[in-house]
Amino acid sequence: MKRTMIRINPVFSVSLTIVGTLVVLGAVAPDLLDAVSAQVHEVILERFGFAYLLAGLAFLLFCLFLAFSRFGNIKLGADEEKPQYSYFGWFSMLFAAGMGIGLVFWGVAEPLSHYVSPPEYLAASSPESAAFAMRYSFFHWGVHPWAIYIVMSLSLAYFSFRRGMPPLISSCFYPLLGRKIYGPIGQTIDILAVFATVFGVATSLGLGALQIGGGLGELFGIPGGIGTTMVIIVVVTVLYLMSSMTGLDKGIQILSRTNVMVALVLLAGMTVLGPTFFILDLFTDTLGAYLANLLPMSLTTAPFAGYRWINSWTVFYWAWWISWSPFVGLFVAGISRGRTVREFIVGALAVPALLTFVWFSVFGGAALHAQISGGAAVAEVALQDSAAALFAVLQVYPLSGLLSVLAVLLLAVFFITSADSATFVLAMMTSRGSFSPSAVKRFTWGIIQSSAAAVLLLSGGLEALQRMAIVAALPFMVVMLFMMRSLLAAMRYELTIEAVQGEIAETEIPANNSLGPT
Amino acid sequence: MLNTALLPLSGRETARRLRTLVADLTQLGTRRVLLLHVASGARTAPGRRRRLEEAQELFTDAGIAATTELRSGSPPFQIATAARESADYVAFCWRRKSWLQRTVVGSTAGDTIRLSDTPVYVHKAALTRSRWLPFPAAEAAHLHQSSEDGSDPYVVVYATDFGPADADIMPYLRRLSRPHTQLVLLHVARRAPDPAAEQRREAYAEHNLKRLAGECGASEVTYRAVTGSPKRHLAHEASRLGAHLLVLGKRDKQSALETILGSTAETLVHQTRASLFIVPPSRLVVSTPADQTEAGSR
Repeated sequence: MKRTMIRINPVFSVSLTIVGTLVVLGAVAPDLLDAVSAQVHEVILERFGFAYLLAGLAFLLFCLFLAFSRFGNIKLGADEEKPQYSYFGWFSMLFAAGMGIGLVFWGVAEPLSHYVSPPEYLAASSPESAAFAMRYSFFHWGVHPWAIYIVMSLSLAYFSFRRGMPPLISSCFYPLLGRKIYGPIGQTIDILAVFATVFGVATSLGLGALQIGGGLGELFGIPGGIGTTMVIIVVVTVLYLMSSMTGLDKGIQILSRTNVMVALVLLAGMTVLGPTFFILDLFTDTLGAYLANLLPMSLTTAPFAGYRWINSWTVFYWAWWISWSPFVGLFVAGISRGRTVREFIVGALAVPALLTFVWFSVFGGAALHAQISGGAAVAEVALQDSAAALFAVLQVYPLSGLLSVLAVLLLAVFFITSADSATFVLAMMTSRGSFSPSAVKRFTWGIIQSSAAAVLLLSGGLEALQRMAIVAALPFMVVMLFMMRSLLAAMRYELTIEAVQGEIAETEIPANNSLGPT
Repeated sequence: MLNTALLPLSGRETARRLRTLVADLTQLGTRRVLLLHVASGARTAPGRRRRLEEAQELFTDAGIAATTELRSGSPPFQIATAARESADYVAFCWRRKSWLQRTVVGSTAGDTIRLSDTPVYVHKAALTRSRWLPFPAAEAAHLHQSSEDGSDPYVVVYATDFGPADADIMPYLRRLSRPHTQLVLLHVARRAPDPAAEQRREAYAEHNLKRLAGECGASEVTYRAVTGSPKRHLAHEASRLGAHLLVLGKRDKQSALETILGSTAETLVHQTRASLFIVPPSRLVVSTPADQTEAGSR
């Protein structure tokens, strides 16, 4: 009798089980999950802050080294390949995936929060704390997050498009682990990536839904509350599931382009309607301060004063970017085929960071101006409810209704784009790296993400889940350090050994040996 | 080619060690030895002069012409300079140092390998004398066939990276051979970035090892390719193969990390229990017909 064997992908089944268990735990016993995650989270941020800072700087230096060394000429694909997407399409997708909804959420709230609640060695609500707030907002959202993403995405793109391996994080370790990447070690790395992605994205979606709810309340007086948030999640889920079924080339690209267009219109609107020259001064001044203090800030652990502040902001952010890196890395790798390493690094490091700086200068600047010169109490709003801060600032300036509509639209499109790309990436990671994962898997992960966000918003376990993502970032930081080592070994091999092998193979080795580089 | 050896002596070498070295150098066909003692200060202790003279007697008795020389300054630098001036190679009578000793006092042999542009032979007495196989004896034993008289073969392992050093080292390999020598060509290299490239790399290694085996012309040649870091695996593989002598070339270009941490050859001298023969880059080998005859007769 013929027996049918069903092979279950262990990465899919194990990660689904872990995610499901933690979501159920968060729904049924949020207090327990909260207590455990808070403790682990606290220990990690308290004890390993220095490691995150050192690793963050190492990632940045590594990117600069690759970009400006001979490795920069290597193409992420075959030598004759051309980039799949135009610069505008590529930057749009980079920006949407890398920063996305978080930027809209924190663009106003973070500078205000640092302004009224700086480290203890600075006086709160002072000119010094305002400059500090802007500088650190630039720092947290500047080149470091992109360096983290680049290490991940560059490795994935190199090993997938240049070396022909499946686009899985475990593939990046072939030079170090060999065939072990197909066994438990490789699978553990991939499961960890799925774990960090689901929790990171679910948390972001939950927070995004809250902010959209806040915006709708401001605009149309729709009462906030859990019912409204649930409706938002359901509507957005339907939209992004529809988009995810159309694939990377259509849905996500169109959404990302729309996103950047709306963001640029909102930026321009706010610059013109807000304190224009103050914003321009602030941008110039903060950019100078950021560049001058980049290295000291990269290594500031503040052991004498401000230790807790650094841990709860900088270290948290670094862990957060690392936990997002599998998702962003896979997505960015997928859209970067055909670019050279130098083009990829310079583009991904400079352009999104510059747009982020402009964003913070415009919205953070408008908020600080309203708080300092206009006497509006927007900082208090930001401290009480970060989600409402953006709309509170928009209310201060002319055409607030129009700008608020644009902001809600931007939030919704960002929300859909993030969820859409995360669904695609998760399905890819659990399909042995297939670039065309099955619709069932895409649908499954889409539903799981939204359900996780909804259930944990209901139970109050969303923050606990965010902490779990941060916890996952610690082992992932180690994984990423080895990833740099592996990528460098592979690139060095290509430029030294393979170059020599190729020359020798042409003259000496029989044709049936088929030697030489690809 | 290996006619004149420079033998640095610290004065702490025992007579027994020197005797095994004398036998070894005789086997290599060395006819002249320059015994050099480098004093760190301006004065040389009288005891050191006496030890040099004793060593000179030992070599002369064995039929090797020996002269002595005293210098002062940095030992590795003086050894490298003296070798460049008047010797075909440097021979070290190895004395093991712990990691702590090496860190605090330094290693003359290691530094000489770094500085020297003549070949360096590091004689490790224990293995050469007893011919024991240090690591899994059973594993090493099945790799090598005993000679007809039942004695173990003299195992020479040549670590090759298929670079230009191969051409320089090949004549030395012939000279370093002894009766019933088993030559093992060993290639240790890092893994390629992907499975397909790895297959090509393995095929490339196999092809080159076969070619080199053919070029060696020795009767007992085997080869082995290993994946991994040469620095980490060479010593282990040499032990596993029961090597008595490990031969390798020294690259002239080093990475930044190697400049700080030391090259593979410098590291290996402390890790392996086999004697070492290290050939510097672009060493012009003048192989005389007499050399070839001698090598063939051994």
